[in-house]
Amino acid sequence: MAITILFVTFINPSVGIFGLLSVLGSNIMAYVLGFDKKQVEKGIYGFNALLLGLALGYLYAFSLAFLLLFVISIFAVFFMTAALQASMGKINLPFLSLPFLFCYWMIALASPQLGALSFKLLPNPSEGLILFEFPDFWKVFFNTLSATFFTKSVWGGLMIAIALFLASRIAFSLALLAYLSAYGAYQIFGVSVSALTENLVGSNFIFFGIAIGCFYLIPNVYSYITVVAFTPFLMLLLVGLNQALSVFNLNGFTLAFTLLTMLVLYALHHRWIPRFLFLVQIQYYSAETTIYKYLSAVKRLKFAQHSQFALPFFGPWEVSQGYSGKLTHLGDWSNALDFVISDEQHKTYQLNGLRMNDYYCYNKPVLAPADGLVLQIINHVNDNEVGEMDTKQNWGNTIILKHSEGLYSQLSHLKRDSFKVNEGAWVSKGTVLASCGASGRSPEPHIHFQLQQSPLMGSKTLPYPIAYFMSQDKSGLQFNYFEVPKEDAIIFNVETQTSLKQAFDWQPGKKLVWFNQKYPTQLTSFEVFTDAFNRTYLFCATTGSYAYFINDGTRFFFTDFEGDKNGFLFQLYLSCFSVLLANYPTIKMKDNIPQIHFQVPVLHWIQDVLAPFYVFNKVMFEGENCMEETASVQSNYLIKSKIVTHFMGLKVESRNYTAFIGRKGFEKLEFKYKGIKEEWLCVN
Amino acid sequence: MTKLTYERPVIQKLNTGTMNKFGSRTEYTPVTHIEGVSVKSLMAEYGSPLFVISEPQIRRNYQSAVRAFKTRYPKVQFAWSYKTNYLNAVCNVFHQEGAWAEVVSIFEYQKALKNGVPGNKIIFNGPDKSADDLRTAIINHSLIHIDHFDELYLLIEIAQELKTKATVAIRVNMDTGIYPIWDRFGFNYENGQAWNAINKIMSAPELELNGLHCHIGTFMLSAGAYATAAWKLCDLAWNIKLKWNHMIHYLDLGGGFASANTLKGSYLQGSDIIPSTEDYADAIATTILNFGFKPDELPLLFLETGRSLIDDAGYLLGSVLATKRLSDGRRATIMDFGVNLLFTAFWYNHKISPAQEFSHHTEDMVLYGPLCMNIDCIRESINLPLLSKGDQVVVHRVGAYNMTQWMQFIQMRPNVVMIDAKQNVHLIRTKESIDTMLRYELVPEHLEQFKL
Repeated sequence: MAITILFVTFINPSVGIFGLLSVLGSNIMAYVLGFDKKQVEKGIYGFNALLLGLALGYLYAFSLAFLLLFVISIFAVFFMTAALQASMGKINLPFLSLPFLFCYWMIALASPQLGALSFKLLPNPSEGLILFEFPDFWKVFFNTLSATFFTKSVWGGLMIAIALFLASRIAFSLALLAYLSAYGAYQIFGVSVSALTENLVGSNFIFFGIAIGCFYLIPNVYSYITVVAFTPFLMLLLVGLNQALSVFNLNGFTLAFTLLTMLVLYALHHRWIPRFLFLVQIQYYSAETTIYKYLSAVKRLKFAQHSQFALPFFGPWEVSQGYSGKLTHLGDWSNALDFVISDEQHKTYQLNGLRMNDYYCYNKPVLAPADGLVLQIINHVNDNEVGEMDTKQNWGNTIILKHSEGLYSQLSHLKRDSFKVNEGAWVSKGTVLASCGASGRSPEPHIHFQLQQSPLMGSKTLPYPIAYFMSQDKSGLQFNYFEVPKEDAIIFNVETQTSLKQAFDWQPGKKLVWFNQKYPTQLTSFEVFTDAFNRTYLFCATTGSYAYFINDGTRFFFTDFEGDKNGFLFQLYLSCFSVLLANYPTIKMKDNIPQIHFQVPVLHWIQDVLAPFYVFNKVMFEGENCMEETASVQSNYLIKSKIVTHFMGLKVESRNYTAFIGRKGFEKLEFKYKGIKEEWLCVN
Repeated sequence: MTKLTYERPVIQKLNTGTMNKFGSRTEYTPVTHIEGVSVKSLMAEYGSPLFVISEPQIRRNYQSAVRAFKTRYPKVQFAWSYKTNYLNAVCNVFHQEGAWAEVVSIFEYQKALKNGVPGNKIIFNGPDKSADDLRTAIINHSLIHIDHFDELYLLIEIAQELKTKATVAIRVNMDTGIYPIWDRFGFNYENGQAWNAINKIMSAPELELNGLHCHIGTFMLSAGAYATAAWKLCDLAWNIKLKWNHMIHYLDLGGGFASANTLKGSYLQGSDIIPSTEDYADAIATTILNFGFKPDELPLLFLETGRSLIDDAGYLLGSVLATKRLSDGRRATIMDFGVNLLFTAFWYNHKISPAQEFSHHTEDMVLYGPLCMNIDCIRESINLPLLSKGDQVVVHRVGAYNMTQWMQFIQMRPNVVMIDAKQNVHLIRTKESIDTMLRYELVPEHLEQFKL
């Protein structure tokens, strides 16, 4: 893309040279003055300088005065960029081409007074070799594209169009959509479409289409509609602004696009709940990367903001009454759970069940479902006789925990004098709080568990999922992830394995050193860091790759990868895409890997164009843990995983990974696909 | 109408006075069916005597024991104590339910391996482990529980020879308030022997200490003793952590939970005085949970209980050979099974029920076995209906130890059958024959011939 643009700008050599010089000048300045190097690399400081350089090279004839003017204007545009970025960044708005516009206007307003400057004779638009006469629609489109870079050439435009398509199918389709809308609007309002090729007029629409359609918003059907819907508005703004500026003999260039984009974004930023149109949070500078990673994140990080609640007991219990149960979970108190222990015959007691001690759950430990503060303990209600209810002191002995602002849990019907904690204590998840009893409205022992938004006992209940739990039904063991347990289900907490947990305990500062068994001397090391978005990642300095991950204590999973897909970090990312830190050999972890990592050459263009609407390709991850046969006491595990790429339902590629976890953590990773078979060892 | 059975006349001393709380007559319940299969048909098909094992009862026992522990403690693993009953069918029921294997000899070890238990899921206990046995256990990554210093030193030598690291645990014995103390197994806690052994292991580069094991006794009538044992193991684990910065992976509280059999000399019935599995579980789990480990570092809890899981799943069916009157006037009944099959008769007063209906008349009697040996007495005094030759009885709670400690003395061992959940009867061990016995005998040539 960049090379094409460079080439196209050199159709008019002075435009090209000054464009190039301005970018270089601006970036060198940013480096020397100590601005963020990453921002420089992203082109934050070069973009406006480029536009200005192109414009100056296009408009003015070369002279000493021009050279000085050029240098000054690069200074000016650089500082303007830096200042605008700082001030507008605070309100989450892009400055777009404002620095260019301000600088350009400054020069344009001053230049009539500067005698030493002379305008170039505008060259006749050279059509070059006319091998083929494009239809008007396309001719104007290509001219518009090339005019963006102060060059007017159908062939140049065609090259830019091809380059744009190769760089991003989504951006290209949006450019076309925006142009089509503008073309239509101009026709309807009776304005000549040739105006689109003059003074960056058409570029406004194309920029707007790309910016709103896929750059600042996640590309989806609504972002496309927004682009089309705002086009007439943009046209009015454009014509009106040019009219107003013409008084000063100025040209608006991309002012209309800049203002309208800011307007839309600023408005969208201030919503209560984002709907339909979603702002891009992490800028990858590629619509394809954005959409595929966004789709994956929406699915996989859906519960990232949720508190992680566990079941408040040891071992398997039965949900005797679920949400909206028939007995007492009614109205405002619908979203509560009751738990009992039952045997294979679904009985909750042994012998004749006439004494409290006959009930399996009586006197069993009740645990803290999540970390929290013990807010209140009620401990004065006696256990009922079997079959009796104390409706006066409905909740019986109760403990209320505060987990965060507006999130409280209540555990009720506990046994009197069984509390192991005191009010005001901080308890961590899994701490024994008290014992199960039958106080309050409880004809037989059970635990009542509810979450609520207020600290008052017996407040309105809040529906909230349990982060991880296992359930046992006729078809076997099931893994449940952020679900509300169903009535009659037999459920228990995930029993995590210490050695698996330790193997993935990657705190910032930790280093993992690996080597390929074939080349034992070439060490590759990954270090753990945390970024500005508070994402923890492994960084490979050799390949400049990043692998972002989350370890929530029950599951380890990678969330994103950026960098070299031939490097070993990518293999590690794939092999441990989602790992349950427990030993349930029958449980398979299934997940979808973002498309962007596995693109079928050329054919994937079809998927890319359609990605904002529908994804038909799939990259499936499937992993399972098992204890190593030769291991002693559950310390060594194998994590076997498989990655299968599907294109339109056809299997394209399959990769197999086996990770070995030992006493000291990660030991080995083996993988096999397409004739590649490697074995990497971890130096602990 | 079926013909009424003849019952011989009986003279009973008339006890005058107030009725006791059991009334004036003895009630007994004839046991005609086991898990829905008639006792008569079992004996008709498989002979008498006959051991019967109920698979559903094993599963019920196992599941309720697991429930008792797992609802109190987060990490629990049971290991089936092979010595209690190592018939393959029995072991495999436990393995199907998820139990690992606990063995005390290489014979049991091999049995477990042949049953398909992975080497790393076998706990190897006991004082008798030869160098070869240890080598096998190390190679298979089994859980080796060291019993004495000689074994410890031998293990170090073998690990050096194999150039590998052996993961081990030690057996600890201790005073839990139950006497006599079982101090012949393992290292003593109170006199510092256990701590000494731990330090030796921790400083031996060939060994890695993985767990701590104890087995405080058998047929324990006090759950509190387990709380003491658990506390002492936790204390050792805590000190290992403090001194060596090494967290023990597991605690093995062994077994010894009582079954509902009545011990000889006990005034009350066994089922009235034994603690329930829930009581044992509560004592152990509460102690470990309250000891002060972080939730993350809580050790895995192993349990090797045998008797309480299998005893009431086993029955012995037998028939009356003869009745006679002894010189002192007591009635004696001779059964076709004796202490050769019912080794546990030495310490239990086994519950014995008739397998058919009788009138309500009963008499006190001595139950003898068929051996030509004076000590062959099953019950010294038992009140039973008026048994006659050929009548059948059911002995309850014989699942533990009898099928491993039985003797081939005078008699040969009978069939063992298992009844599954669908009431199908499976022969799981065929009765021995003369060929079984002769297979292993060799007669020197000069002794082959004789003339009488």
